[in-house]
Amino acid sequence: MLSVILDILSTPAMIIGIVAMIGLILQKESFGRVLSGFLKTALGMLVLSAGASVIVSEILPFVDLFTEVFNLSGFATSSEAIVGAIQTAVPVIASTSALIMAIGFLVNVLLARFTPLKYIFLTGHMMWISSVAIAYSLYVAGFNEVNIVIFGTILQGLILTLLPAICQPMVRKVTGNNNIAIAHLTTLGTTTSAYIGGIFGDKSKSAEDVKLPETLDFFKDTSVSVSIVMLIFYLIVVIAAGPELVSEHAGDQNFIVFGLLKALGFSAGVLILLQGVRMFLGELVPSFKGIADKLVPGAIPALDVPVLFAYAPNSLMIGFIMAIIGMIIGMFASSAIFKVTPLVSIIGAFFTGGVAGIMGNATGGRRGSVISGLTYGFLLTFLSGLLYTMFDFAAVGATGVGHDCIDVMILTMLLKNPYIGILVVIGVYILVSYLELRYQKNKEIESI
Amino acid sequence: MLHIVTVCGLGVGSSLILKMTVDNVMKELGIKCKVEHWDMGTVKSRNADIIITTDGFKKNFKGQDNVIFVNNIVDEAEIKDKILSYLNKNN
Repeated sequence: MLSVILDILSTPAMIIGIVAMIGLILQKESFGRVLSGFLKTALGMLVLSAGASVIVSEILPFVDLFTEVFNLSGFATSSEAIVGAIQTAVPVIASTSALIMAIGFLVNVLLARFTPLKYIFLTGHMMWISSVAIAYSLYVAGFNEVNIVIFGTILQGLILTLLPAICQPMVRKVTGNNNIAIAHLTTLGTTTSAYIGGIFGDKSKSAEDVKLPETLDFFKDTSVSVSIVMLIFYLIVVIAAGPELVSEHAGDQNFIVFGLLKALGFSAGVLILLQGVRMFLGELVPSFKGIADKLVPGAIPALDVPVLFAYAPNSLMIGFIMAIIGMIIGMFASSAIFKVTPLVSIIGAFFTGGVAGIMGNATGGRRGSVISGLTYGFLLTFLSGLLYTMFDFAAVGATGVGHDCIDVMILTMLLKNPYIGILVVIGVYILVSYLELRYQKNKEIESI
Repeated sequence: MLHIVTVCGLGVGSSLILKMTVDNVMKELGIKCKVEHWDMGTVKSRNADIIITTDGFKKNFKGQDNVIFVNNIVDEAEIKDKILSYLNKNN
C-alpha cells in the first residue's frame, strides 16, 4: 500500500500538482478550486510530455538524413523541446526538477528578502527549463537524488534571483525606471551583446527615429514561425537526400510529402508542449506570486521579455533580423569547427534577439542595435553547437534537439564540474549584490 | 458572467501575469468574471467579451472594438482605469 502511494507521489505530474495544491490551500481557496488546480497542473505536465514525445519522433528522421547527407549532426534549437524530452525520458530528472522548481522558488523569495537583490523571477516556463537543466547537470555528474534536489534548489534560487539583477542596469536604460525587471534565461547573451553594441554604436541615433516596414509581424505567431523554419530545413534535407534514402523512413510515401508532414508534425509537437506548459503554469505562477507578495512586499517583479517590446518596436525588428543573420553565421561556424549544425530558431531570434536589439539601441543607438542582434544570434547557435559536443544529450532521450537559452548553455558548461560551477555562481552573486548595493546607495544620495 | 481573456504571443508569459493583475483588479471592483489567458493563435479562432493585451499587439486586433491595450502588465491602477472607462463606454 505504502509503495503504491510513494510511486504515485514521485511522478513529476503529481509532485507539481501537489505543489500547486499547497499554494492554493495557503491562499485559502475553495475545495473545488484546489481540486481543479491540482488536476490542471498534473494534466499540464502530462500534456507537455506528450508534446515532447511528438517533437522527438518527428525530428528523428531529419537527424538521421542530415547526418547521412552532410556528415554532420543537425539539431533543432529549442530549450523547451530539449528539456521536455530529457524530462520525459529520465524519471529521476523529472521528479527532482519538479522539486527544484518548487523549492527553488522559495529560495528565490528568501534571497530577495535577505540579500540586496530584490527580484522575484516570474517567468514560469523559464523556471521550468532551468530546473530541468540543473537536474540534468547534477544527474550526469553522478549526484544522488537527494543531493540533486538540495544543490539544485540552491542553484535554482541563486540563478533566478541573480539573472534579473544582471540585466537590470540595461532594463533601467530601456524603460527609464526601476519598476520591472526581466526574467529570462538569455540574459547573459543579450546583456553581453548589448554592451558590445554600446561600444561600437552611437547612442544619439536611436533606431526608433527610423520608419520600418511592418510585414514581418506574422513571425510573432509560434505555429507560423516554427513551421516555416522546419519546412525549409526539412525540404533541404529530403531533397538533398533523394527519394531512395528518404524511403527508409517514409516507406511508400512520396519523399517531399514526407518532409513536409514531418516538419509540420514537429510544429504540432511544439504546440502541444506549449499548451501543457500553459496549463501547469496557469496554476503555479499565481500561487508563487501570492507567496512572494506576502513575504517580500516591494520586491521588483521580473517578467517575460515582451514587456520591453513596446518601448522600442523598431529596435525589436532590427534585433530580430540581425539575430537571424547572426544565427546563420554561427550555424556555419559551428558546422565547420564542431561538426554540429544547430538550426536557426526563429522564435528565439524574435523574442530574445529582439531584446538584444532593444538593449543595443539603449546603449548604442541603431548601430548598437544592429551589432547587438548580430552578436547575440551568433553566440546562440555557436554556443549551442559547442554545448552539444560537450554532453551526450542523446543518452538522455534528447536526440535532434538542443538549447537556445544562452544562460542555460553557460550554466550547463560551468556545471560540468559541479563544485566549481556552484562556487562560480555564488561568486558572481556576491559581486552583483555588491554592485546593486552601490546602485541603491547612489540612488539614496541622489534623492537627497 | 463577463468573459475576459488576456493575450500574449506564446500564451505563457505576459498573458499569465496580466491575468493575475486583472484578477486582482476585478476582485477590487467587485465584478464577477471569468478570466483566461490565451496565446495569439487561440484568440483568433475564438471570442470573448473583453480582450486585454499589451500595446505591442495593437496591429493584430485592427477593427475589433472589444480590446483593451495596456502598457504595464503589473500596474493595477492603469488596468483598473482602462477597464472602468471601457465598461462605462459600453454599458
